[in-house]
Amino acid sequence: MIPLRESLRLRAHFDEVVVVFDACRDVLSYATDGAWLDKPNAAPRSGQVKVFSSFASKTGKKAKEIDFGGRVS
Amino acid sequence: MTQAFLAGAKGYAADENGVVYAHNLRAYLYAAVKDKLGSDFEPDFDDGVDPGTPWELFRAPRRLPKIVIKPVNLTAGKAMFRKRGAAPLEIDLAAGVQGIEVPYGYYALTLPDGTERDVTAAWEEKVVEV
Repeated sequence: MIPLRESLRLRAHFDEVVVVFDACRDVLSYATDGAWLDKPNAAPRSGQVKVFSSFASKTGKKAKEIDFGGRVS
Repeated sequence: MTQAFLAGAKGYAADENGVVYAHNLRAYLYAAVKDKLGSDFEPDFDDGVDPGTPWELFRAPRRLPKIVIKPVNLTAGKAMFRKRGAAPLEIDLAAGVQGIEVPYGYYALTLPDGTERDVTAAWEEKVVEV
């Protein structure tokens, strides 16, 4: 999730990025990349890109679904 | 959290001028998610701005959450509903069910017997049985 957000920021195609990560944040040792091999180069304006991030839980924790009148979210 | 985000963006996190700032959305999401899922649930937000630098995310007419006081066990006497630092609102429980529209945030409801209940205003409607 973080690489996706950072990739968007580094490429600077957008001035503003708002991301909603509504998911669990399990730490999966078998799925961890030691290095980010395809990390994009930082565009000159990447430092000015504003990013709003929202996560359903803290790192390593589970998210939770509840019923909103027939819709689960 | 998706529902909280949508509600906030649609106006529940807007200020009186109809602007949803990043820092307000962050505060709203925190209150809304914890209100639905419980205080032991910890969402995580980064509003991406330096303190004192407002970032206008969305524009939407402000919507106010409604707190519905529903007398079930306490059907007489006065209750006081207030936000920290603000003047309390007196509620006559004998008048039956009544709704109060307030800006999102954390409130306290003091009942006639002196007990106090914490009330979070975030969603369209929240029923508080007393």
